[in-house]
This record gives sequence, structure tokens and C-alpha cells, in this order.
Amino acid sequence: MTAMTRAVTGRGRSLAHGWGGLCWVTWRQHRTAFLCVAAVIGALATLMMASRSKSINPPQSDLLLLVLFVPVLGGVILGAPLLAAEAERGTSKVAWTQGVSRIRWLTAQYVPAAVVLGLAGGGLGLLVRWYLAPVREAYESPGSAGFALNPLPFAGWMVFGLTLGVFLGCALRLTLPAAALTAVAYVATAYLASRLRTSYLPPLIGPRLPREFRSFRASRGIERLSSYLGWPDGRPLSPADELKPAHWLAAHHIRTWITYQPASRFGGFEVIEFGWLIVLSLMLAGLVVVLISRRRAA
Amino acid sequence: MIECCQVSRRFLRTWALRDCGLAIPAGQVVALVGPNGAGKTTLLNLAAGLLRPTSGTLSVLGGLRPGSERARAGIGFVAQDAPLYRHLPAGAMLRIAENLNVSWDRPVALARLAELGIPLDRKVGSLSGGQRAQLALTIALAKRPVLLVLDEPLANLDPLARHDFLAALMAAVAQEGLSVVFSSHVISELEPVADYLVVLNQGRPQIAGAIDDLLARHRVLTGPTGEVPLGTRRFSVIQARQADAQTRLLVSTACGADAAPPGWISEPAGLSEIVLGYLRDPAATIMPVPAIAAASGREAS
Repeated sequence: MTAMTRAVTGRGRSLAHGWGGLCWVTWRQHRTAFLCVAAVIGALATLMMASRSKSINPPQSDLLLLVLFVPVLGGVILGAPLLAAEAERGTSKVAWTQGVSRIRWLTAQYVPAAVVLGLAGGGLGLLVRWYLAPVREAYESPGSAGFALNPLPFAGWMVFGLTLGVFLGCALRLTLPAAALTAVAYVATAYLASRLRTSYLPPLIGPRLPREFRSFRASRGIERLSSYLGWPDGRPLSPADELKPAHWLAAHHIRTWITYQPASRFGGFEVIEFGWLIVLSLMLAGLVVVLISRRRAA
Repeated sequence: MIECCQVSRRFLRTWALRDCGLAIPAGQVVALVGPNGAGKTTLLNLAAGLLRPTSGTLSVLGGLRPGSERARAGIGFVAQDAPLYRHLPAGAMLRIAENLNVSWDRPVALARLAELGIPLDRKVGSLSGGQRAQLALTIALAKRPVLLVLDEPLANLDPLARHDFLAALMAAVAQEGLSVVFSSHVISELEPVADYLVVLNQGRPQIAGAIDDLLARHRVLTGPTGEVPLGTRRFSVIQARQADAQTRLLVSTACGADAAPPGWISEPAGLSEIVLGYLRDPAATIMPVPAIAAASGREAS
């Protein structure tokens, strides 16, 4: 009966090595995947530094395209196998029958990876900003796919890529299909984001481009969206009126109006993109928690 | 140690366990036997908290919910095929398990691996089947459990590895005084180690009892063909096999060994023979109906 009392007094005691020990478990299990992602990021960083020092101006757009896919890599080689490999190999039966609770185990598996990848994304974004400093606006305007490479959004995309992989791995329980689907779903989300990005906030309407738009260097984040013919108060002309002769248009002070996102919103757009990516990631992580706590092992 | 009250578990449309009522006592080495698909793995996974019953209640370690914090700390579980992180060295596997647990006996675990000749820097995947099973057992024992639950620990092991595994298991039982429940479908090899037997068949327990008791209660009667002495109330026939010259009966007796009718020879029955006899006739059961299960079963109905 001494054995029995030992188990009973075990209640509420913390793990032998606490959270640190749990995080070490995550590192030891997924060391290779972490190092692979680190190696790719390191290689891209080196290439950027090397190619910038050679010539100031032309940005290597191929290189930046590769950087754009780093979050997919994180999702495919770190996220998707995180839970799918456990299910495939039956090792979740080991992990889930030890003293640690499933949720605590899951937290220690996911959160450190998300934090590390998020920080790596932020760092990579800063590096891209430095790399593009001479021709910055081309990649930083919300209208281009390269907007994702800004430090804050890119941190969000890294976290999202990982979480997408973890979620699909948890749902499918098969590493390879989960990895493939992660890549597809990520690219689809990124494409959707590039189409919707300019509508994060309703655009402003102006009679002409603000002066700052003309200075290319200073135009960080400004985006001309569309132009139309309109009345002096900004109302667009009806299609019938647009066919009226030029002197009629002049007589009525009809002019070209443009819609645009002002440069001052640039930081706001970064925060909005980071925000929805993190919220989406948290929702996916919540679904994983629900699945894991109800799920039978393997 | 494990108490089931009308436990059922369904996977899609198949019932792995149906109205399973069972009380496995503490301090025993319990062998869980049954044909493939009888529900052994399901029952053990339920006890380990990896599954939840579709209906019914199950408690472990004297009233704990399976999978609860105290139940997880108190049960050392080795799943079927002893899953481990194969791409990691044995030493790392051991440290991972240490970090996942509340209590951990590192010196004993390291000593066991040294004794078994398992190098810590060797990849788990490159160990032999016997060594992997021993590593899984070491991990299950190092958390100092009250109950050890092993699912088919002997499957896929060669005879020598089986012997070594059982020897290690019995040594641990003798030293720690823990209870063990392990499943197997080979009856012959569990007879020397187990002292309590549970036979599952088609999702229901068919036999549950101390092995000594089972052996004492069953006899093999051999007599002339044609006159099966069914009229007697002193025993009930589990299985009858008629050959040209003689009839062989497996019977359970209520009162000792001298149940043989005149002209018949009475012999002690082997454990395999008893188990096979019951498995061939799923209607025959020998179950000590647990008081708690019976009472709550009545309340429920």
C-alpha cells in the first residue's frame, strides 16, 4: 500500500524539470527541423548580404521570392510533422501517458516553435528592409506581394505557416498529406491576402496625388488604387455622363479623382496584417487543443 | 486496480467492448488473454486514458478517472509494439520521458539499461526488438508506477527476448511490489508469471479469476463414448469432445476433484485447455461478479 500512497500524494506536484524540461523535449525531438529552417534562413541572409554589397540598386527579386516561401518551409518541415508524426508512429501513446497533461505537452511543443519562428520572421523582415533600402517602395507598398516581407507581417506569416502545418497535421494525422496541404493552403492564403490587403482600411479619395507620392523615396506605403471621373464633390459620374463631350465636362468642373492609401497608414497596415494572422493562428491552435483533448491516441 | 462497470466502446459500427464488467484486484500479475479482436487493446487503452468509453464507467488505482493527472502518474503504460522515438538515441529517449514526468528514478533507469547492454548513444530504431521492449519497460518503470499496463509486450519478440523480458518484469514486480496487467494471445508463456487471468472474447470478459483457483476448479474427464453424464449436478461441462473410443470432457466443478462419475478418469486440466475450452463456447463464463459492479448495474437498469 505504500506504493498506492505514493501515487496519491503525487497530486499537484510539478514535473521533474518543469517547463524548461518540456521545452528541451521539443528541441530534442525537432532539432533537425529547427536546424533545417535555420540553415535556409542563414543561407538567404548570407545571399542578401553578399548581393547587396556588390551593387546598390537592383534588388534580387528571385531571392526575395525565396524569402517569401520560408514560412511554408516552417509549416512543412516543422509544423506538419509536429503532431502527425506522433500519430503515425504511435508515439503520442507514449507522450500522453506520462505525468504531463496533453495540453501542457502541446503548449510546450507549439509555443516555443511559434515564438522562435516569429522572431526569425521579424529578423528576416528587418534584413529585407535593409536589403531594399535603396529601392524600398517597390516591396513595401500594400499593393505588392512583397508587403508580407515587412518585419511585423512576416513574423505573423511565419507563425501562421507553422500553425497551419500543426493544425493540418493534427487533423489529418499523416505527415506527407498534411505537409502538401499546408503548402497549398498557405499559398492560397497569401494570394488572398495580397488581393485584399489594399482594402484593410477604406481608401481616401483625392483630386490629385498628394505631393509625397511624387517623391519616390518618401512614398513608403502609399498606394494609388484607382482613378475615376467625378463631380467636384467627389461623386463619380454616371456611365451616361461619362460619354458627354469634353466641353461639358469642363463646364461642370468634372475632374479625375483618385483613390489611395496614404503613407501614414503604412504602420497601421503592418499591424492589421500581423493582427489577423495571429488571430487566425490562435483560432487554429484552439482547434488543435480541442482535437487533442478529445482525440484518442493514434 | 482496474474496475469496469458496463463499459462499452464502439469504433464506427464495431463494438470493441460491450457491457464489460470487470474488477481486477491489486497486487497481482494479471494476464489478459483473448483472440485477436477480442478488445484487449481497447480495454488497456481505456485504462491508460488514451480512449474514453462510449458508455459505462471505468476507474483505475482505486477510483481514479483514467487519464487524470494522478492516474497518469501512477500507471506505467507500454502500448502495443512499444512505440518510441526511433530517430533519437536511447539516452535522449530516456531524458525525454524524464522531462515528461513528475517522479523519475534516473539511477535505476540508467543501471537497468547498462545491465541490459543498451548503449545510451545508440539510436532507438537500430536496437533489436527485445532491446526496444526492454527500453520501453525501463521507461515505464522509471516513473515508479503503482500499476504497470503492458499491451502485447511479448509479441514480435524471439523466445530468448521473451524470457529476458518476463524475467525483468518479474524482478521489478518482486522489488517494487507493483501490480501488472499485460495482454497476450499466447497462453503458455504467461502461465509461469501471471497469477490472475482475464479472458476476453468478443468484447466481453469470459473468465476472470486467480489462476490457482481456475486450475483447481477445472478437471478433464475421460470416459466411454456415448454416455455423457450430464445428469450430475456436481459439475458442468464446458466442452465435450467425442472420439471413437472415448469422450473427453472439460468440466468445472464446484466441490473439489472427486467429481468423476464411476468408470471415468479425472485429470487436472491445463490452463491452455481451460482457456481454449471457454473460447470455443462464448456462452460459458466464469466470473466473480464484483459487488460494486453488480450493485451499480442494478441501479442503472
